[in-house]
Amino acid sequence: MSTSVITTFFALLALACAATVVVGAGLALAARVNDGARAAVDRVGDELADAGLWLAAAIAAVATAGSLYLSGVAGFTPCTLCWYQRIAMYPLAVILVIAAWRRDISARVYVIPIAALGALVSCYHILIERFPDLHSAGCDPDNPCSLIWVEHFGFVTIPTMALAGFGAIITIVALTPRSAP
Amino acid sequence: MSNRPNRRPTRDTSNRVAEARGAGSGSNGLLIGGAVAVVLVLALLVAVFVGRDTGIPENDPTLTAEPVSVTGTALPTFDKSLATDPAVGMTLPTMTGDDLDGQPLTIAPSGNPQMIVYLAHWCPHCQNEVPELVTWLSQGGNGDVEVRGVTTGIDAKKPNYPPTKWLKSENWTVPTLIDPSGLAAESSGLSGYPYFVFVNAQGAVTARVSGELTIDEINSLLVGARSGSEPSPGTIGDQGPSSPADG
Repeated sequence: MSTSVITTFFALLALACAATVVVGAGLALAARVNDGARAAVDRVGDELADAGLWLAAAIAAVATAGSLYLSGVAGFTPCTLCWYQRIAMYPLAVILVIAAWRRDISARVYVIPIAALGALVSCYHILIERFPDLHSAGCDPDNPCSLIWVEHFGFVTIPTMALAGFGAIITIVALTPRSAP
Repeated sequence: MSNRPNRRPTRDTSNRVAEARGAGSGSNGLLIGGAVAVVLVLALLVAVFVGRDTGIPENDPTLTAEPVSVTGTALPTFDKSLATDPAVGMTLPTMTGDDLDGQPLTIAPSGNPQMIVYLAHWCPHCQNEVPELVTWLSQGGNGDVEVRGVTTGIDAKKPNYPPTKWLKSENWTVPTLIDPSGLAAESSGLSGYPYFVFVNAQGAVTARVSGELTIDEINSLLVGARSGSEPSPGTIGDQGPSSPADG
């Protein structure tokens, strides 16, 4: 399968993650003012009680595998900011699998800050991709962070995918109810 | 616990709660699992149809270009931290290779002032610089100064490949050398992209700059190339995040 097919696949998964963030955050906000939305959040919580941590673990694992594919197989060299995002994403894959196995939703105390830091780096990286002059006036001959290795649908780049992953992990873990059945 | 019976909901509500509970625990994440499976299958199908590699023609000059041959003394690697560039006054090496149409092209002292622009197809700063230069050239901004290009840092894995296709789509008409091995860039002391070397009519380097330049900056650097003298200190943009410190 060509690199283009695989990066398109990851880009589509990132869109699904982004949709999760939009729907999840929208519902959580609406639940503050609307009873119907509150019921919907409870319903989502019921579903997530069983599957939430596994779902978040799967997102972190796929993001980790995807990032290793891009650097190891596709041959895209990670830049400095890519590495900072990897530092946030890779441990999440391990922490979330253990948390899901133990049904330990209290792990979100660790998960959310790590994912939030990763998301912040992703935001800065996306900014630099769009406005390279913010970072430097020229390209490092080796590997500038402004280099857009992959771009699908006009906006989904590698740090965009990372941001969607971090966002979806935060959303899902936050919506998972405290008391697992 | 003792007040539990008091909180028991009405039959109607209790049935609904029981139903909801039943659905929740009975599904055991089946709903989410199903949704994930659907997303995976859909994404895979769409990816197979959408994600096609656009191949490049086998006769594209990027692929067929021979390595550039260089004669003369290589310029030292450009170091923007030095107050004076040791390459100033040195003669630009002669570089011969293929142009964007696969025809032979030599960049060498020509008796006219010259500006040589080194571009990497994947570099966003080069992608920004090219349209600026195209507009400037179309207005005759370069005047008597010969502009030559070198497309270097070529890497098929990196985006916006091949450079021939990119430069043609930008209406780039500057005679441009394809530098598949990077030797032309190395011999010119390139330290970042885009990279500029200004040469006077005698063939001596008057200035070198690494990083994006504005047209105003280029015009002031051309003054030095035309007069044959070194530009006054400070006119060469020290390109980089540290530049405000120089002022």
